[in-house]
Amino acid sequence: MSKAEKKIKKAPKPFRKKLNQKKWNKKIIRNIHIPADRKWLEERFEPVDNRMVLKKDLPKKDLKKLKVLGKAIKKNKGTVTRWKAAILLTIAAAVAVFTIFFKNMLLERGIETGLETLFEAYSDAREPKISLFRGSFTMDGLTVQNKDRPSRNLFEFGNTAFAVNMGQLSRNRYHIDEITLQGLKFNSSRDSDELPESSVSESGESGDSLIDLEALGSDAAAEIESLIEEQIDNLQTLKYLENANEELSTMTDRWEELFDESAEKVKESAEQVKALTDQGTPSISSVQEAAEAAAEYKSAYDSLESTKSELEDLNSRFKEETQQFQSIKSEVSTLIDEDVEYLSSLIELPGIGDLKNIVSDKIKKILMEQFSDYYAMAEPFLPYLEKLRDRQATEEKKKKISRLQGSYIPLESATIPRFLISRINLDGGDGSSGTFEGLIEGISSEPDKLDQPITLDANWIKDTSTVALDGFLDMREDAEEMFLLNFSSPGGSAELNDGMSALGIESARADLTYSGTGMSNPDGEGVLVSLDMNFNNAEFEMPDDPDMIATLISDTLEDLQSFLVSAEILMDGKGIQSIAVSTDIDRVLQDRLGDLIDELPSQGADALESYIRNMISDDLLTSEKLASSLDALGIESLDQINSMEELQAKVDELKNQAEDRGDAILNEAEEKARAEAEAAKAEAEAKAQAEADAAKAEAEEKLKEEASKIKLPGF
Amino acid sequence: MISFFAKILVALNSNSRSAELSSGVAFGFCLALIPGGNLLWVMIFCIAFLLKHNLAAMLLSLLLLSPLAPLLDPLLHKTGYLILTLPVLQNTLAGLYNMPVLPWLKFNNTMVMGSFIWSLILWLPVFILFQILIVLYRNKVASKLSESKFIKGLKKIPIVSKLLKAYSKLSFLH
Repeated sequence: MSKAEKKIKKAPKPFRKKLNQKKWNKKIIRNIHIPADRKWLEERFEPVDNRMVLKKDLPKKDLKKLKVLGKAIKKNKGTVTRWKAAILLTIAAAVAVFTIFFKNMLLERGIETGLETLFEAYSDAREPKISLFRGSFTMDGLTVQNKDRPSRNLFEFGNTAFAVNMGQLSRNRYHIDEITLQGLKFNSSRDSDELPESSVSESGESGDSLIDLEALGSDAAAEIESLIEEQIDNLQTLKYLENANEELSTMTDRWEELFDESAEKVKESAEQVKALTDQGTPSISSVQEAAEAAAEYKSAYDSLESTKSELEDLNSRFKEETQQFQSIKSEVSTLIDEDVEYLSSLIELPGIGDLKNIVSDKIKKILMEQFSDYYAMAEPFLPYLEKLRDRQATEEKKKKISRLQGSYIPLESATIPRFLISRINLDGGDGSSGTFEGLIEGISSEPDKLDQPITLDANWIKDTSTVALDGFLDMREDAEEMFLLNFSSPGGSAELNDGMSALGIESARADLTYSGTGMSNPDGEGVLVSLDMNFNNAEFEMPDDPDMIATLISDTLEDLQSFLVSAEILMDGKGIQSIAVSTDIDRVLQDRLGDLIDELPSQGADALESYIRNMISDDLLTSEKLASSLDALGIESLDQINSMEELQAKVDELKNQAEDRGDAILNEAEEKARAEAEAAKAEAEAKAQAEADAAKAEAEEKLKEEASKIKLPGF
Repeated sequence: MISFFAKILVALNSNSRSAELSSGVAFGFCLALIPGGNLLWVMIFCIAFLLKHNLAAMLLSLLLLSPLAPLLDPLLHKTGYLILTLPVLQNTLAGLYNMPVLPWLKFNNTMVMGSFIWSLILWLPVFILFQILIVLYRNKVASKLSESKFIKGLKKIPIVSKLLKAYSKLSFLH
C-alpha cells in the first residue's frame, strides 16, 4: 500500500467510500451546510471513473478538517436522536420502578408531610396502600395531632378504603364509587385507651342528654358573689372588724401581762399565808405574847388587804376598759345590716317582670351553650380551612398574574361531572359522646350534572337515645332549597343533677323528645334551625325544707305532665346570631307564682347577708376569741380577788385565835386579881371592921370613962 | 445562558442542519405559546426533545418567548373559544373528549385550544423564516462578519471573550 493510499484510509469513513456524483451530493455535500466548507470539500475530491474520490497527498491539516466534517455529516443524519430517547426511556423506567417498589412508602410520607404542613402538627398514616392499575387505596388508619393540645388528636379514623374508577380517570374524571371511613373520632386522646374528652364534660355539664338544665339558677349566687368582690372596699363591716380586732389584740396582750404580774403577787401572798398556816397558832402564855402574835397576823392581813385592794382596783379598771368592747357583736350586726342595705341598693333583684321568661330564658342559654359546643368542636378546623382557602387564592392569583386561564367549554356529551364521590359510608364516635353511622351520597364538583343533591342519612346513638338525621345539600343552580336537615330524637331525657339553687330545687329530670329542621336562612345568609322540645313526666328532688317558690314550680311542672318548648336558632359562619325560645310554661308559672316572686328581694338580701357573714367569719371568729380571752382575764381577776379574800380570812382566823387567846389570858388574870382583891378587901374590911369595932369599943370605954369623969351642969 | 448562546453560535457556524436550529426555535415558540399544566404541553415537549434539532435553540426560544406569550392570550382565548363553540365541531370534540387519555390534553380549554391552533398555524412560518435567516447568515453574513473590524474589536470585550472561550470548547465540530 502506497503512502497516499494509507492517508486516504486515515480519512473519516464517509469520505473513504467511492460514490457516484449523485450519491456523493446526497450523502456528503448536502450534509455540509457551510458554503465555504462545501467548497473546500469539493476541492478535495476528484472524479475517478464517474465516482467521487478523495484526492491523494492531502496534507495533515486537511485530514484534520475532514475528521471534523465527517463527524458533522454523521451527526446530521436521521431525524431522532437515539441518546435522547434512551434518556427518556431510562427516566421513565426509573420512575416506574421507583413508584412500583416505593409507592406506598412515598404515599405514606406524602400524606404525612401534606397533613403536617397543613395542620402544623404530627400526623401518622398507618399502612397506606395504593394500586396504580386498579386505582384502589386502603389505609389502616390516620391520626392528626391537635397542635394547640398536643395530648389530643384533632381527628383520627381507622380503616379507610376507596377505589378510583380507572375508566373515568383515563378521561380526566375523578370518580369514586364508594368510600368507607371507619372509626372517625374528633378530639380523641393520643393514648387510644383513654376516653375522649367531650366538650360537654369540659364545661362541667352532665353529658347524658342533649338538653341539660344545669345552668338554671346559678346566676343569682354568681351575681351576689361578684358584687361583693367588686364592693369589698366599701364594706364597713370588714374595716370595723379589722380595726377592732387589732385593738382587742393589743388590749388582751396588755392585760395578760398585768394579770400575770398580779398573779405573782397573789402567789407570794398565798405562800406567806401558807407559811403562817403551817406555823399554826403559837403557844401564847401571856397577853403580851398574844398581842405580839395578833400584831403579826394583823400585819399580814393588812398586806393582803393592800394586795386585794390593788387587785380590785385592777379589776375595776379592766372592767371599765373592756366595757367599750362588749358592744362589738352588736356593732358588727348593725354594720352587716348597713352593708346589706348598701349592697341591696346596688343589686337588681328579680321582680315579677324579670322572671316572666324564667324557663325560656334558661333554655335559651342552654341552647346557646349547646350550639356553641358544636362550634367549639368545629373551631379547631376553621383556621385550616382559612389556610387552605388562602393557599388556593394565592395560587389562583399567581396563575392569573402569569397567564390567562381561559375557560373550559362544556362539551355537549360531557355531562358527567369531573369529580364525583357516589357514596361515603362512615362511622365513628366513642362511648363518651356516642357513636354514629352515616351515609353521604352524591358529592360532586359539578352538582348541576347530577339528578340528585348531596344527601345525608345518619344516626347518632348514645346509651338508649338515638338522634336520626336526614337531609340534603343542593348546590345546583335551579335548586329550590339549598339546605335542609331534619333531625329527631324519639326518646331521651333531660337531667339536672346539680340542682337549681336560685329556685331551691336540688335536681330535676324529665323525659324529652325533640325534633327539628335546619335550613338555609330564607332572609339572608346562614342556617336557621327550628327545634321543638317536648318535656314529659317532670320529676323534682326537693330539699328537706323546700321554699314556697320551689314547691310551686315543681308542683306546677309535675301537674302539667308535659310542656312544649320551641326554639329558633340562626347561625352563620361567624357563630350563633340569635336564639328565640317560646313556651307556655312561663305564663303558667308566672300566674301560679304570683306574689311569691315579690319575696325574692328579701331572699336576695338574706343571700347577701349570708355571703357577708361567710366572708367575715374568720374575722368574727378572731373577735370572739379575743373577747373570750378578755372574759377569761376578767374571771381570772375575780379569782385572784377571791383568793385574796380567802387568804385574808385565813389570816383573820389566826389573828382572832391569837386575840382570843390574849383575851382569855387577860380575863383569867382579871378574875384572879379580882378574887384576890375581893379576898384582900374582905380581909381588910374584916380587919378594919374588927379594928373599928375594937376602936369603937375602946372609944366607948374611954368615953364612958371620960363621961364618968366629967358631968355637965344640969345633968 | 452564555452556554446556550455559545451552543447556538456553534450551531450557526458549524455544519449542523439549519432545519435543526429552525425547528428548535419553532418548537420553543409552540411550547411558549401553549400554557403548561396539561398533557398536550408534555407531549409536545417530549416530541421536541426526541426529534433531532437544536435543544439550545428550543430552550432559548422557550425562555425568551414565554414572557411575551401573555400578550397573545386574548387572541388565543378568542380563537380557542371560536373553535370550541363551532357547531360543526361539537360532535367531534365531544367524541374526542369522551375518549380515554384525550381529556388530559385539556383541549376543551379555550387557551389550550387557541394556543394549539396558533402553534400549528405558526410552526411552519417560524420554521421557514428561521431557515431563510440561517441560510442568509451562513451564506452572506458569517464570513464577512468574522473578517470585520467590529467583530475583531468585539472579541476584545471580556464577556465576548468569555463567549468565545465557550465557543472554542464546543467548536471541535468546526
